[in-house]
Amino acid sequence: MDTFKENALNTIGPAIIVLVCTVFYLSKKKQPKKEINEELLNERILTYKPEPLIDYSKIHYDNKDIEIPAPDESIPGCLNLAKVNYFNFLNNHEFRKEAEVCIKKYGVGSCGPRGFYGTVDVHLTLESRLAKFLQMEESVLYSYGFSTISSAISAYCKKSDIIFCDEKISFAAAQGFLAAKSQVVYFKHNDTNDLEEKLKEYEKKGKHKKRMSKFLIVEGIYASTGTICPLPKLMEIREKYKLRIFIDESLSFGVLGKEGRGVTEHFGIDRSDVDMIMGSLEGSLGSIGGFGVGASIVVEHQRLSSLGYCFSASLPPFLSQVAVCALDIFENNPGIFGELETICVKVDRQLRSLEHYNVISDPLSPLKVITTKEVDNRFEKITLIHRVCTSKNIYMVNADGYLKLNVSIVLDDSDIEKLLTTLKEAALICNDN
Amino acid sequence: MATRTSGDFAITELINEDAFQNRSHKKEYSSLYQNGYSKHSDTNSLCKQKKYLNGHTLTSSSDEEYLNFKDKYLNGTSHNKHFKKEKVLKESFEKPLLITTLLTLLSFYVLMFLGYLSQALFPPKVLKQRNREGYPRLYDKFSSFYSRYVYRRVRDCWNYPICSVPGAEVVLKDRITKDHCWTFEFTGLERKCLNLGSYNYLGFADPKSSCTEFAIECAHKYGLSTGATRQQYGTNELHVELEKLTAEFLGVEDAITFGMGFATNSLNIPALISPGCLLISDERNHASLILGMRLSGATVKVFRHNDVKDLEKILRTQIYYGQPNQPKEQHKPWKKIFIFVEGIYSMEGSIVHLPQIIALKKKYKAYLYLDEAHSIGAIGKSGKGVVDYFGCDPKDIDILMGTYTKSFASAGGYIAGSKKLIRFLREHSYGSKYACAMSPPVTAQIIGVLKVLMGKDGTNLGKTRIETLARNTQYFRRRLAQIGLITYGCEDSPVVPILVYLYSKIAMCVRTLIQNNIATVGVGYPATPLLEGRIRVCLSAGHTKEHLDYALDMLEKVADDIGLKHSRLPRDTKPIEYEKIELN
Ligand SMILES: Cc1ncc(COP(=O)(O)O)c(C=O)c1O
Repeated sequence: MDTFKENALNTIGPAIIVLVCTVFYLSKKKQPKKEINEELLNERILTYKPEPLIDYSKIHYDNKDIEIPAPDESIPGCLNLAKVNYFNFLNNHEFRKEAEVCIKKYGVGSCGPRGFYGTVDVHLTLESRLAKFLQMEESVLYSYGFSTISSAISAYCKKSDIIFCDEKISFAAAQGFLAAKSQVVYFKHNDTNDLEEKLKEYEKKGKHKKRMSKFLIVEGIYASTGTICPLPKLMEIREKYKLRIFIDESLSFGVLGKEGRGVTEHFGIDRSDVDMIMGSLEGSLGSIGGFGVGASIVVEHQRLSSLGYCFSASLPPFLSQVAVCALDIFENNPGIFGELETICVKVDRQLRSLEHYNVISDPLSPLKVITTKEVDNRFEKITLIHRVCTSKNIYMVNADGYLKLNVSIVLDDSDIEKLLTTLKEAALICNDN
Repeated sequence: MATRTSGDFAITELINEDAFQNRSHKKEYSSLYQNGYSKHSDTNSLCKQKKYLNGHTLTSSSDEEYLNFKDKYLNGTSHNKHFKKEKVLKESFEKPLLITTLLTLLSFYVLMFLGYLSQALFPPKVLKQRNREGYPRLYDKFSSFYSRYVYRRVRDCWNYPICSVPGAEVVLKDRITKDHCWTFEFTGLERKCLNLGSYNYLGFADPKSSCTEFAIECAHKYGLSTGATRQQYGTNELHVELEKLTAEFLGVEDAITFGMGFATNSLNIPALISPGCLLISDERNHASLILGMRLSGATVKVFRHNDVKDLEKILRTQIYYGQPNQPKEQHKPWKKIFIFVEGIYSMEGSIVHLPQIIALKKKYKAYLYLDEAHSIGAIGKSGKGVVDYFGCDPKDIDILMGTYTKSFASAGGYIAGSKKLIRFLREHSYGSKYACAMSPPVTAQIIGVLKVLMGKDGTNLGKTRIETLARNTQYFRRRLAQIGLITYGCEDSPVVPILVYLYSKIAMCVRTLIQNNIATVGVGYPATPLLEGRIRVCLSAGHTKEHLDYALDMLEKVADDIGLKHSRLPRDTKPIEYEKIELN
């Protein structure tokens, strides 16, 4: 009955602590505080001049310029590479019909968080289907892709923990680190040697306590560069230094691997070695929302302590239904992953053949990131190229000196041809200026 | 404290300079009213000279002081206009008997003790992760103990799956557990319940309305997602229309929308606020607000729930001391001071004391951030939230935030305010930069609801819904008081927490009510203070009088069975006639 004794102590312990704290608190209250000088106070209230609500100098654009509207795709020749639409699910009319049925049955919103009658049976279906698809024990559904990453991370990482992560990690993950208040160590992008050095340095300092966890957080395909993480090497390091690894598969889920199971399948890694995979329904699945999958013992924790899961209304049922439909296609027709890969590689090869551009992204990535070869005035040049392409009805994302384009399965040779000639033309115009 | 009468109320108090200076200042509470609210008379305050019905008036001394100040310095406008806006807030936070408190505490310790005991005897029925020897644990011991051996025993009261619209009635998927809530099995049966749990205040969840038809139409026309962020090609006509309508509805210049209410708070507060600012937050604020404040890196101070005096005290001391840790005791004022409040607090059922807070905000030159997640649509003559309810000027609130998840039966959130503010947010909000735009059918549903509420559909259905909700609220709350249950919050708030105190009674209550086909929500520690376990009822315009009567009968039965009639307030025994309830 040793444990019993220990448990009894555990119960009495807090009671004593509470008592001591109360006594301390009460005794502290009695101490006279430094007096407030009334006159000075009134003067300070009168003269207090706060800064304006917002920093007006930071407003640079008009509404129209800052929010670029979706292009009208019904115009012939319009090529929208700005939206994430790998499998053309966004234009799938079957999905819309399914959504209609679902809205008629469940309404649009779920009117409550998961705990309070916001768990609709399609949520449970989607959760079990996602877990089954990834061959893991359990999954948990979020209502927004951004909050998935940040909430899931901050559910596990604590102030006393240390996080090792790639310097190109997404903004959502960085918000998660902030919320967790953990110590964060960034290593050079996809540089496992640098990671090992940082780890060794850290071990040498010997500051770490036994209790504290070390996390390794990487992305499958990096949203800012389109590169793939060197997972096999990372897994070795994880094993060696006993790190907990979380992979953000927002982009790589449903893209990489023979059957679309993401970066783990791509490299043939046993998924049970990964502690948690976070993903988004906004990528290949063409819906909105996000999810985390892992072993039950890990994922279960999020259901009680992940802020974005507990304190927010659940995903609108029809959006989960859409994701279920997409998973149906993934499972019944795994050939589409090969198709997408062929197009990704084709576009990559063609882009690399352009003389004025550097391609940063991986050939297998459906997100292509390109920039000009010349480093000078890159920002202005890319803006100009972007403008030329837009005027030719080709839409891409201009991200501070880089152009991002999303490959889609519906791109045919003439589309790619058009893209290339326009990019070439734009580069010429740009160099003339 | 000895002067308080037997029913120990925490009724709201006026802001009063003198009271602030003299902390030991005595309050007198007198003349209990039949409906359980008390008249407040304060020896020093202005309201002594005026005749008020009961409860609490919102013309505060500071408000007046502010006006005088304005008169003196700015040759301000007439008093009269201001005084017309008086509103009587009736609210009650009755305290339980000491014995109830002690029992609650005891029962919690017993529960913990049993938890430890069963942890020692029965191993958890979850598989360990493979190949993780030598790894530190992923989360701490206590939280896994609490979730497996305390929360697990009552796990069946939450996360009940539904398989219908969360309307006035909801169909639950029946489930049973054969192993003390470690796992659940579906029985294949369904149970139709009266829905007192969902945030469907105006009853728009029902897909029979015209709004849902519009949503379906837009699903076909625009697809289900725009597949991009708001800033980069994800904006379509619906978003623009929604923002225009929202701004018009709220009576402000402009608005911006996001795909999730939680993210609206957690992604925009950091964009607006930088270190060096002071954030003063109500202690019962929602997790999303707290997260946003934490992410902003600014200093956060907390004031007691809805306690305007405490807020003023903090404002004064903070303006006095300024930013801490300055060299050589120099005085460096805060860059900006923000007050964070919610319209209706979802766990307390209380309504924010907005006019007083606006007065304070003006007096101390702070900014006000108001989260109307639960109040938008749910209160106010035309459903415009607390601002409308108190008849305040929406322009007095610097940042108006709200969500579309509740009254609008959709998803997402907005921030509304001046043109400049919104322009700033469009450019700098993390939400429009990095997160997916709102789904078109979701947007369309909100547009539809807004049109109904504003009467743009050519009917007065919106107004009828708002009135029905107000009537339901009054009826339900008054009847509960007659039964003798302790409820928290303001008379007009459709969120009704019913105090049951004991942890095990929460579970008992929820289970029995579900057995009787009523779906309610139980809330206990850690979501509420340890000693204030409660079940919560959210009323809806979709509920009919029959629904409410059934629920009240059942609640009374449960209250008799497990002893919940703790209220010691005098009861009004006159029957309440539903149709004759006067709406204010
Ligand atoms: C005050 C407050 N803010 C924000 C939210 C989050 O809104 P949503 O459910 O749309 O994420 C809630 C929801 O519970 C809330 O009560």
